[in-house]
Amino acid sequence: MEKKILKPIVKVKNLAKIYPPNVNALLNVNFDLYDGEFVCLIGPSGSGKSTLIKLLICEERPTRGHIYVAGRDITTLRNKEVPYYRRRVGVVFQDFKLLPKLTVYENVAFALEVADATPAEIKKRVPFILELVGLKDRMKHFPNTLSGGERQRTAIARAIVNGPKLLIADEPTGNLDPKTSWEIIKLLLEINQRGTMILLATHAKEIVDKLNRRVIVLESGQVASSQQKTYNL
Amino acid sequence: MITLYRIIKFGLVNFWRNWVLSSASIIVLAISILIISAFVSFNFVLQKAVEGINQKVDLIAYFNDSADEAKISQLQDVLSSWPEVKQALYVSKNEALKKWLANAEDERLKTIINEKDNPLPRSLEVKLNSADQAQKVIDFFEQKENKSLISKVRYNRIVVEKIVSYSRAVTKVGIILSGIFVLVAIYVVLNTLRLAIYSRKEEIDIMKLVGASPGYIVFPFVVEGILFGFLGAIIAFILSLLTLQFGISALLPPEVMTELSSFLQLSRINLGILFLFQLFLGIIIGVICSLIGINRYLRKL
Ligand SMILES: Nc1ncnc2c1ncn2[C@@H]1O[C@H](COP(=O)(O)OP(=O)(O)OP(=O)(O)O)[C@@H](O)[C@H]1O
Ligand SMILES: [Mg+2]
Repeated sequence: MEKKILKPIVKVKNLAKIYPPNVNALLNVNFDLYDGEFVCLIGPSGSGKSTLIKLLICEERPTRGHIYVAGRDITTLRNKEVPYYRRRVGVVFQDFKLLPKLTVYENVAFALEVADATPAEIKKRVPFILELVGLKDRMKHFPNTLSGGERQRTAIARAIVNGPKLLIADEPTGNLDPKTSWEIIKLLLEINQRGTMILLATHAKEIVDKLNRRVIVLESGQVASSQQKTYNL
Repeated sequence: MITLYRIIKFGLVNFWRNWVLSSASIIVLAISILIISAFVSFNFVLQKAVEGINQKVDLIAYFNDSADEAKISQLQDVLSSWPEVKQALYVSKNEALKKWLANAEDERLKTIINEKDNPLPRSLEVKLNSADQAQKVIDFFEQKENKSLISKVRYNRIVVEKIVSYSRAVTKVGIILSGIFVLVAIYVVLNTLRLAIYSRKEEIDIMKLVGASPGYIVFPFVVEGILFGFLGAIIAFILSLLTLQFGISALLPPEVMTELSSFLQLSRINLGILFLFQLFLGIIIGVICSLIGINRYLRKL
């Protein structure tokens, strides 16, 4: 990597998640994410990638361990604080998770609205972000009239509209064909270039190879490898 | 302020774009409101009827023309001192005549009786505090020394008592049924709203993931609940107007209608109150139900 990456923004320490009665989804996971990084998270199905992401966005509480984001331990956030934390971390999923009753514009604006943005900010920011993801002419469409790629672009627009430091993507290309997948990855690269850290969980080997970025490998709930070179499965 | 506007707008948009479930909820709510307000107004009218009956004279004792005026006033004093007696009013021959003249409709009849030739007896009109006390007064009139003064005792009490006890029973049943219907309404509306909320479970999860605070998630549903209540109340009100206008006259025989007309007029005057009551009921049920319905989805992170 040519960039100097020194400051860890995310520190995962001795993280474990045990689903009752005894599913060890994560066992003692440790890694750091540095400012400006684009990191791929890979591993076989059931290795705990999604579980890790759920812990990173406070959707679940860990059984043991800590996650520090910008110095704050998010595993101890009170329920009331969780929404504020989530506004500062973007998430994208395989199934897009768009609000079906809202248009593309409204879906993106919603993330700003819940963050108490002013109408003026929303009017300025939403078209700008939609332009960035290439959906300017789809603003008034409802999600069910969009292609998979367009839906994922909408979800990405929503995830970055609040200007998060970290964007987490859980298999964002899982439902897309190779060409569309690569377009989405290129969009993520562009967002990364603009200064947002990206954690990309994926199954797609070609993408990981082509990206040639740092890879964290999970295997049965543990980090099997976390080097900064290309990892070949 | 801007947040409030957004929340309300979001609620309205959701309401509109889920119109099938929305209208189902509204109809259920309207029927519930209608039934509850029917019972409440029925109770209200009955209450008024009972009050009206209680205002009327309960017993009238007519005196023989030979009876001693002093003894009559003594009797009046005794009765007046009883706690059960609300009022014991002495009606002299002249007063009786005046009343009769005032009530007589046929002009020829009025000429038959005049002050000099007045066959109308003196009387004592007794009003009681409660239905149960008539017998005591009757017994008093039946006593030997009093009986000789009195030509006749007329009392409406037997009929009145029947009405009163009947209406009391109806009131009790009405209150119980109203209570049951409030619960049934809440149950039905709650389940309709739960269905509406359940069908939007994923949306709620998405809203949370985007960073919406619980208030932001709850209030659109509360807005919807209020809207359900509001529209339900309007429908219920229109239905009650139709019922008052056509339903009652179709159900009841005309002679009962004339008896009831004063009460119905009374409820016409109170239509505004009825509407406010229905609005209150609808909004309360709507809000309570949406709060209960959404609660379980908020506990999860
Ligand atoms: N809510 C849950 N309750 C119980 N077990 C769970 C739950 N969620 C996940 N698990 C288990 O935890 C393990 C890790 O699951 P996870 O979804 O994190 O895997 P993954 O790496 O994302 O897999 P995939 O690549 O298929 O998405 C699996 O064995 C799964 O069955
Ligand atoms: Mg997964």
